[in-house]
Amino acid sequence: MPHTGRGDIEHFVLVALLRLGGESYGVPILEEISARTGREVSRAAVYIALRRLESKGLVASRMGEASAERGGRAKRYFRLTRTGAAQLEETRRAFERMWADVEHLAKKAAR
Amino acid sequence: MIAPPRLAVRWLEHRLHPDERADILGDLIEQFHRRAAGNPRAARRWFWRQTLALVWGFAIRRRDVVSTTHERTRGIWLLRNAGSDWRYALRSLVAGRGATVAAFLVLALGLGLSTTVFSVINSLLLRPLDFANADRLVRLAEARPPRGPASGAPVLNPSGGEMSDVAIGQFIQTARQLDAVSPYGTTGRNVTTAAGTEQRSIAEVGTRFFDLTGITPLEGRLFQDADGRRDAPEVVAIGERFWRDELGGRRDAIGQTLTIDQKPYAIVGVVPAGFRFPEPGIEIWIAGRWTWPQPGVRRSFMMWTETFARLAPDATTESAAAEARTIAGRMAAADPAFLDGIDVPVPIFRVRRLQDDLVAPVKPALVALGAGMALVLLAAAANLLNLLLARSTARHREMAVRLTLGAGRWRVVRPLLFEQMLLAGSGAIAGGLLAWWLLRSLPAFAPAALSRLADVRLDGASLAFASMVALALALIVGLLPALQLPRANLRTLSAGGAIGRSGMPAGSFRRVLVAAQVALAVTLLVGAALLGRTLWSLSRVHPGYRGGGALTFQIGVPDGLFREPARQSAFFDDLLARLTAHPGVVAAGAASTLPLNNVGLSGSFAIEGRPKPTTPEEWPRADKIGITPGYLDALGTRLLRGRGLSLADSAAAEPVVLINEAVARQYFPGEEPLGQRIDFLRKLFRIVGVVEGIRQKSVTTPANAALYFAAAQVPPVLAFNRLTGGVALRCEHDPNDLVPFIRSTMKAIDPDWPIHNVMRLDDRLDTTFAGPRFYSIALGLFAALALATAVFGVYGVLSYTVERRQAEFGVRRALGGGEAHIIGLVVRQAAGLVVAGLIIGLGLAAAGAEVLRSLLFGVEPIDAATFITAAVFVAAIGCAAAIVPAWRALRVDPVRALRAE
Repeated sequence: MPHTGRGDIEHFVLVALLRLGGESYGVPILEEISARTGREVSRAAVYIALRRLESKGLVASRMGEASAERGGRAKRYFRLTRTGAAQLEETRRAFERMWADVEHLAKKAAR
Repeated sequence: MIAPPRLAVRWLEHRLHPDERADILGDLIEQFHRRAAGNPRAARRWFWRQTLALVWGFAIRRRDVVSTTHERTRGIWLLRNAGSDWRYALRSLVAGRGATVAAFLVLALGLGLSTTVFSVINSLLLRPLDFANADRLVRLAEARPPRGPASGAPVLNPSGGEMSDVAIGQFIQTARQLDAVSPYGTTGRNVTTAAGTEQRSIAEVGTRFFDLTGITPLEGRLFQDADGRRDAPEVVAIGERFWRDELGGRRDAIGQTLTIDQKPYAIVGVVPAGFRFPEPGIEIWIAGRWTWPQPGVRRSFMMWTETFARLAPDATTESAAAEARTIAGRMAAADPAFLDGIDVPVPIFRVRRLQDDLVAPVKPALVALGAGMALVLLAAAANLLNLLLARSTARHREMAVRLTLGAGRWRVVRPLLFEQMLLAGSGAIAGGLLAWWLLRSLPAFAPAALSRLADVRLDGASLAFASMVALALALIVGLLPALQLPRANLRTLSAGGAIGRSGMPAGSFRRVLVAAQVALAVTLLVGAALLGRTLWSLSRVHPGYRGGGALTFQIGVPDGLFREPARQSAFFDDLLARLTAHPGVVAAGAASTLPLNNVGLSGSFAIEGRPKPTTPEEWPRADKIGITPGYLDALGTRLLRGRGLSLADSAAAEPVVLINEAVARQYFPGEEPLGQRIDFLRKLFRIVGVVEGIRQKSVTTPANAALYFAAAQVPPVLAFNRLTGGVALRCEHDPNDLVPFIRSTMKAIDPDWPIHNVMRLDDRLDTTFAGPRFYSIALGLFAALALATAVFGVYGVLSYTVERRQAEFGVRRALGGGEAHIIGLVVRQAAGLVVAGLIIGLGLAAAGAEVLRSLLFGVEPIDAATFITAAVFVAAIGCAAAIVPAWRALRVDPVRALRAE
């Protein structure tokens, strides 16, 4: 399994939040990332990434409702902030610019 | 619904930060439930895997995390956020200024005193000899109890720890269980150097003496067996200091001769300055050249010497003692039982480990001091605990809030612990400094038995002791409140300001502590008071002489000079005539034994006209002392009946003798002793006077029976003894003013005979008081300290209750309760604490007083008066401590107190 760096995880988390409609909590985020990347990501890494993103102001959180299913424990909802969304868009564009016209080269190099 | 593994959940709860505990755990449990619907067992395994991954992942990745408020909490979990806690601890110490200073002082004094005592015990009691194989060394001692039915306890030889020359010879020649049997005797002798003649401390030792410790010389060599032969040249080893100071530290000093008592000795080696076996202060060691007499040979005198030896490689003290019994049996078989009316006792030998022997005289004192130290430490700990409990009670609300908000118990207790560590740490430093100062200044006050106190240093062991005790105190005292933390947090919180209204457990625990402090104070005070009584009893003993204005000194007369009677009496006639010629001198005289010196000669005598006893026990016995006419006047000893000696009692006149009260009482009961004659040395001495008894050996030992002969009428050996005898002077003014005159007079007679031990009789007496004074001051200090903690304790507890019962007092005042009534309420509570403490303390003191027995004089360990006085004193002080809180209770304003309610 390839190593997933810190930057990658944060990127995954942001995109997952975007896919989940801008706001969600731990379980859907974890599942979204696993489903899309096709591999199990480190649970701790995801939570740490969420905290880091929060401290950078890219994500905001609030405590939600508790349920019996969760052993009586509350959910923490994370929401993509405006800055977060803007930075995500900026990153996407940067990636696109970087990738323009070289996708076939990458596939060839990987082969 | 299937529950997730409980242990894993608990683990995560413990590991996760409170801020993120709920959501992360909630997410995990949510997923678990979904999986558990399919395969519960697999789900549980999955939960455990996730738990491990989480814990592991947080542990390794946390480091990368940018700090957020809660994530700044890194480092060893025990010490997270330690910085703020230290500041908090410091702030609260500063806030409670008075109590902090009190606790610090008690702690510093307690640790200082106990570190001092520990240093002393450690170096004097635990390791009195610090060189390899010190535990293989033994001291040999010989006792010679009378034959036949024992008349009292076996009497040891003159000083209790010596061997007779006959026995030493037997041991050197035949003992297989002992190596390096070494006689050891110290004297002051006249040593002549370029600077003049001076009295020096000299040890005359066996040639194997230095083998005992295995030291190597700094220069030259130490003694060999050949040095002890009669025909060998006489040799000495000199101490490093003497070598440097007197001989300039030159190497060519080896081989030079040294003049001791006008005889030449060749210097063979230099002993390093650190050598202090078995005592410090010896400057020169002479290789003894003794010929050991055989048992069974009749001699007029025996030589007694201290003797040390080392156990042979396979020997034990038991095997050596068994061998000593064999030797004793052989000696007894060779000796006749009865010789010339004087019994020849069977020797009994004692083989004792030298370490035990050195420790024995100071052991009771040190055990008492050690017990005092332990009690004071307990009192200091109780004091700290009390302070802390008072403070943690005040903080219960704050703690409850923090606990409810999710703070761990450890985090809540930690500031308290840090507070104690700050206190204990600063107390330990101050205590260490105090101990250092005490150890430097104590030796000046120490009694002779503790003379080795000068060697005690504040070493690593002592410092380790101080820090260990301080740390232990801080931990115990700091962690105890954790047990007292409110459990029902929310309920405590909702109870609002009324926390503790129903009587917190802390309150009753504090009362127990205060009672314990009172108990410790009483115990120590009783000990100090018993020693104080001892001091008082000692000061009231009349020793048979009067100190003020009297002075004694000894003369370093060379060996052998006084074998000629004419020369001896000429010398003393000349000296005493010159001394009495001085206008300031009231009386002067010489004696063969000065007070508080060992008696030179003691033994049996006969009374004219009475049948000679058939068994040794029936013979009258007395100390025999030769004196010149002015001697008893100089001491201030009173003549009770008859006349004193005069110059007319010359060699040519009728032999006369003075007896003391003890002789009159024991041997002439209901008879007139005056005019009767004593048969001694084949002469008849007429009893012309009865004098009061002189406590010769020590102030605490009643006067022995003693006979005082006129020096001119007895053989020189009885008339004067240079080891024990000397000259006494009585002056009109401070006798110390006469010392230059005495020295110049001696010099005019013979410049080579120095005088030494020049001492006022008062100062000589004072050495007796040094011991009890030292111990009573030490225990007194301990007691004062414990008493101070008890006062703080009583005051603290009462202030606290007065504060808590403000409303009650207000109501009582409002309902017309008088001042006496309110004060009674407070003082009654104090009295309860004090009485409980007194009962325990007196019990403790009664159990512990026995430890002091050997240190006491004139008072029994269980002395009712002392116990009652100490109890009353402590009770008074304890109730006095209640006055301020009681006064405060009176000042409670009923209206305000009720409004606060």
